[in-house]
Amino acid sequence: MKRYIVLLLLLGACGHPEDNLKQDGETLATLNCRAKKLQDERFKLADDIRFAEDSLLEGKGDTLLLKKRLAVLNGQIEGLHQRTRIVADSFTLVMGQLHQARYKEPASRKALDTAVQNALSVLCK
Amino acid sequence: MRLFFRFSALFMLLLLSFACNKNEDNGSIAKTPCDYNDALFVREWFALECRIVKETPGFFPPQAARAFGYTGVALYESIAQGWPGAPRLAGQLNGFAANAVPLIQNGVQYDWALVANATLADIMRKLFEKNITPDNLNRINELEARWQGELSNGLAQDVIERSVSFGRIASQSVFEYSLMDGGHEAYLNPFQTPYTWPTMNGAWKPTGAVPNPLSPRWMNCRPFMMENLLEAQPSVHPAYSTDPNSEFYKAAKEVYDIVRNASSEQKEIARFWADDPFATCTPTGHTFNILTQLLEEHDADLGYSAVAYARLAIGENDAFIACWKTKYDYFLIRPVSYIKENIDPTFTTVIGTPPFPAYTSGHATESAVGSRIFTDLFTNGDGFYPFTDRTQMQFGFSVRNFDNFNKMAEECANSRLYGGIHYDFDNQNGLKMGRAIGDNVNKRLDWPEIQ
Repeated sequence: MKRYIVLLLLLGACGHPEDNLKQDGETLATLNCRAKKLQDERFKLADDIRFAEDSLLEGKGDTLLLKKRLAVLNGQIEGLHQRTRIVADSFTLVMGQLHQARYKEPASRKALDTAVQNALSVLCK
Repeated sequence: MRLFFRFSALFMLLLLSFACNKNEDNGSIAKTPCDYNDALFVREWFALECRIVKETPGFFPPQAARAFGYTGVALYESIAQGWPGAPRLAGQLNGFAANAVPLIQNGVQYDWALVANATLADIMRKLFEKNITPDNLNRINELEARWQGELSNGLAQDVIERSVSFGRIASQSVFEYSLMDGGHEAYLNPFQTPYTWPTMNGAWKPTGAVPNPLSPRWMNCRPFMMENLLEAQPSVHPAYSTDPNSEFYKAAKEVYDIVRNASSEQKEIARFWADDPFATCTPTGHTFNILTQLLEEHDADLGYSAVAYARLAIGENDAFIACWKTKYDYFLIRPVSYIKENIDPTFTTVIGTPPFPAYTSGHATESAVGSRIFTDLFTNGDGFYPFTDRTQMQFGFSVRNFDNFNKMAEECANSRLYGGIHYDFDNQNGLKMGRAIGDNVNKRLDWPEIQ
């Protein structure tokens, strides 16, 4: 299914090279943006966990409540990891296919990187 | 319209399948590993290893470096006999007897891609055996079967069977070599408890919920090159002191000031090299991912790829043994603990502090190994190489650009200062250790000529 989506994306941009570049940049930026949001969630969850652990270690706050909170937070890790993996796999597949199909040379890959950055500034605010 | 898209998609699939395998030499009889123009299958194996490290309980940085280490050694050793004039690692590596891997049969044909494929599958099953998830075991089996099918095209059945058989023999030989290194199945008790800590001023203390330091006896593991353990040890760090005029206090105050005033760029760098707070294939995995990207960009053949992965594998394994020796010889307090006690009790770091002593930085050590090995493989020796690390885009990071592998390693080392995880002297001395180890791997082992 993922491969089929990738092919349709590539097919949709069979026109002018500059159109391809823009569209490919947007495709990757969309996935990268999703990954970025998950990354923010992961680091926030990690911060919440370590600050709760710090409080527990330093004897600050209600121990029972802190332990309950930690159990809830730790219970969120696996789901977040699964969502991260799905997006990461999609991104890796799409970027790999694009590199092989249209961006073999270092200069063209740099151009694609720039197109992704440009698209991110619009799509991922 | 829908039908049109379906046919178009199929057409594109055909085109892409050629694009993905444009240099494959599946149908012919290749003479040496260098005759396999594309080593996509090898890169896929190391990408899978990254995933398995992430998802297998007990694989922290030392255990991960060991797994990548023996995988890289097994890959190279499996194909070395098919490469006329190529020195073997058996006989060169510490404790790896020259006759540890049986000789191939004379006068019969092997397919070296099939050999390598079987070796990589087999060694990964063995290295992660007790804790691997069923899903990941299936991934190994499926990847092995898929590539065995593709690589077998046009080959006689006896060649296929002989090649797969030798791949497994080579893997078994390397696995047997690994059994006595002190790290076998260390993932079952990565904290090596029970452990009695040293008590002294400035001793490490827990920085979070994990009560014990990680792998305190990892220093006893056998390195691939003894000189990497004995000759790469750093000089002593500034003497522990709480005197505000002391070097030590100033180093901690530097961490404090940098974290308090960290720019968004510095925070991004700290996170980028930390990979992920929950599921990381460790700094070694990140450096392997960079190598995989470099090999893809170079269209590296099987021989070149095997040498590159083996060099990095040896260096990374030994980097974590040497670094862990330093960590437990000095058992130094982390900046966060020192700062909370002596500078500001409300101090928090940018990212979490891992549960082991500070001196020296594992990230700095291992990234410097990578920088030296990449410099030797991909440059004329000056390290200059315009390079974009795209390996973290999948996790929501932007690319990072470097014009020199040394700068890449320095940024990785500095990221630990920006994150509040390490003193600068942890990083600078870690870089020195890693450079020494990388140079040893490049220069003191015999490697085949590669282009």
